[in-house]
Amino acid sequence: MRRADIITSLAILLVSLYFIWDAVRMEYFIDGAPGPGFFPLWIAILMSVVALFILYGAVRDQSRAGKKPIFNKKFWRNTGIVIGGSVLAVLFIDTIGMLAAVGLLTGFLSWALGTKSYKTNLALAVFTPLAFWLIFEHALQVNLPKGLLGF
Amino acid sequence: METLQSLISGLSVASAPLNLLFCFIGVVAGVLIGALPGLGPSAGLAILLPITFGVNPTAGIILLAGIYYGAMYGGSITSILIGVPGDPASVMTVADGYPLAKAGRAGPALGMSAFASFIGGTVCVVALTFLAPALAKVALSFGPPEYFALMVLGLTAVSGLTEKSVVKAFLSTLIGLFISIIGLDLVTGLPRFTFGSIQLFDGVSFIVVALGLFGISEVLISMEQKQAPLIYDKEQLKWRNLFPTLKDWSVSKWHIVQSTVVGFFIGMLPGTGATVATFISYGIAKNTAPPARKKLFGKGAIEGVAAPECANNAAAVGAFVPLLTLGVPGSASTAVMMGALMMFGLRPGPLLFENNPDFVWGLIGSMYIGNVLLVFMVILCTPIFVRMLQTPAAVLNAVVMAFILVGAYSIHNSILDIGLTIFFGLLGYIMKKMDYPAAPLVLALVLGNLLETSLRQSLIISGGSVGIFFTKPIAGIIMACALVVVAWPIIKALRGWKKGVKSAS
Repeated sequence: MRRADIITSLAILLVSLYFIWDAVRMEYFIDGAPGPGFFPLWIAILMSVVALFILYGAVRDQSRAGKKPIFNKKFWRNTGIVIGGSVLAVLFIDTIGMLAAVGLLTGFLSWALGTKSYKTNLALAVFTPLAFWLIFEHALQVNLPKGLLGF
Repeated sequence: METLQSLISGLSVASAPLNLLFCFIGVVAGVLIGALPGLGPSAGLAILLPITFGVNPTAGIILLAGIYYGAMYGGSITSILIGVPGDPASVMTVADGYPLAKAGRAGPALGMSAFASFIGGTVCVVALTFLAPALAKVALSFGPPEYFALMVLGLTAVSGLTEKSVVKAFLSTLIGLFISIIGLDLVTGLPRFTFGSIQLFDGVSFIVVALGLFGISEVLISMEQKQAPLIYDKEQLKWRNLFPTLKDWSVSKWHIVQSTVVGFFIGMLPGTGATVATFISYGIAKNTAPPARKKLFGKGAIEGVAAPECANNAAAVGAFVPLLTLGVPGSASTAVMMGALMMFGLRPGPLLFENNPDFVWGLIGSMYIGNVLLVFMVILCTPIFVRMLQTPAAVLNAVVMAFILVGAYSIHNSILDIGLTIFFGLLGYIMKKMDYPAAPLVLALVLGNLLETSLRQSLIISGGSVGIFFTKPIAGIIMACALVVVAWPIIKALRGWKKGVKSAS
C-alpha cells in the first residue's frame, strides 16, 4: 500500500499541477465577478496540497512497507476478465451490434468467473440480449446500435 | 391541515396503477439488491437508474425510493441466514441475527427485522410529512451563501466522517468536484478541460461515474470474495414461523421506539447515513437493556436485530429530509437520487414543494404504501427471496456487467459513455483497493455545478469578499460546523502523533 500511495499521490500531484497551469490560462475574475478559471484553480490547488499530504504520510510511514502488494495476480486477472472483456465487447459493437456483443460478453464473463455448465453460459448469451431487447428497445424505446447482421 | 390535504393528494398520486407497479418493482428489487452480498443500495440505484428515464419523474423516483428502503430491509436476510451482511447498514444485524438463526430462530429474527423496519420506516414517513414542508419554508429564505455553506458542510461531513483515511476522502471529494468542472462554463460558455472533445462539452454524466464507481467496481470486488453457501432450514422460513412471540415484542418495543428517533435524526445529518445509525442504535440498545438481556447481546438477543433494522429504515427516510427540502444529499444513495431528479429536469430544494407538489407528495405517499408492501412481501415471499439468492455469483456478475454497459449507452445513446463507465469502473476498483471512498466523489460530482454557481453568485453579491460566508449568521454557523468537521480529524491525528512521540521518548 505504501508504494501504491506514493505512486498515486505523485500522479495526482502531477495531474493537479497540469490543471493549475490550465486553469491559470482561463480568466480568474471578469468585471469583479469570478471567471471560468476561479473555481478550477482553487480546486486544483487544494488537490495538489492534499496529494502532498498523502505523499508525505506514505513516505514517512515505514510500517506499511513490504506488506502484500495491492496490485497482485488477482487484481490483474479480475481486471483482464471484466475490464478487458468489456473493452473487447465495445470494440465489436460496430460490427456485430450491441445486443450480440453484450450476449457474447455475458456468456464469456459467466464462463470466466466460474460457471462450468456450457448450457448455462449459452442460455445467458442468448436470453440476456433478448431480455435487454425487451427492456431497452421495446419498453424504453432506446435505439441500440445495430451490427452488420441487422440486429 | 394543508399538509394533510397535500398528503391525501400524494396518496392518490402514489396509488395510480403505474406508480403502484413501480413502487412494487422498486421494493422487490431493493430487497434483492440489499440481500445480495456486495451489491449495496447505491450500486443498485445506479444500475437501475437508466430504466427510469423512459417513465415520468414521479414513477421514476418512486421506483428509486422503493429500491432504497427495500435494500435497507434486504440486507438483513443474508445477515441473519448466513452471517454475511448484504450491505454495510446490516453489519450490526449479524451480531444477533446469525446466532438466532443458528439457534433455530431465523424466522422470528427475519420477522422482527421486517416489522421493526416497517415501524421505523412508517413513523419516520409521518415525521417527514410534517417536518419537510416546514423546513422547506425556512429554506426559502436561504440565499447563495447559505446554500454554498450547506453544500460545503455536506461534502466535508461525508469526507470527514469516513471510516478509513480522511485525507483520501477529501482527495476523492476534490476529484469529484474537478470532474464536475469538465464541460462548458455555465456563465461564459468557455470549454473547460474537455481536451478538444465536443462530446465532453455537456460534461461527464454523473450516472456514468456512478455506474462505474459503484456498479463495475462492486462486481470486481465481489470476485475477490468467496460466496458463502446458503444453508438454512426451510421449515424456519414458513410464513407462520416468521412472527415474533409476545416475549420478543415485549423486550424489543422500547428499543424500536428509541431506534426510530435515533435513526431519523442521524439519517438527516449529512455524512452519517444508515450505517452509522445502526451502530449507534445497537450501542444504545445494548447499554439501555436490563442486565439479564444485556448479557444476550451478541449471542442472539432479538432486540439486537430490532434496533439496527429499525434504525436503518428510519435513517433511509430521514435522509430524504435534506434532499427534498434543501437539495443537499447526505449520502451516496441520496446523491444518486438527487442526480436522478436533476436528470428528470427537477431541482431538489425548497421550491420543489411549491413547483412540483404532485411529485413530492406522490413520493411521500408512495413511502407509506411502500412500507406496507414491504412488510407483506417479506412475510409472504421470504422463501422466494432466499431461493433467488442462490443464483451463482458468476451468473449474477455477468448479467449485472451487461446491464451496466447497456444502461450506460442508453443515457445519451453514446459509445463514449460506455467507455467512460468502464474507465470509472477500473478507477473505482483501484480506489477501493487503496482505501479511497467512492461516495464523496459521486456526491461532489452531483453538487459540483451547484456549488460553483452559488460560490460565484455569493462573490458577486459581496464584491469578491469571502467574508460573506462567515458574516451572514446562518451561513456562518454552517461554515463553522464544516470547519469543525475538517479540523477534527487533523486534531485527532496531531494528538496521535504527539502520543507516539511521547511513547517513543
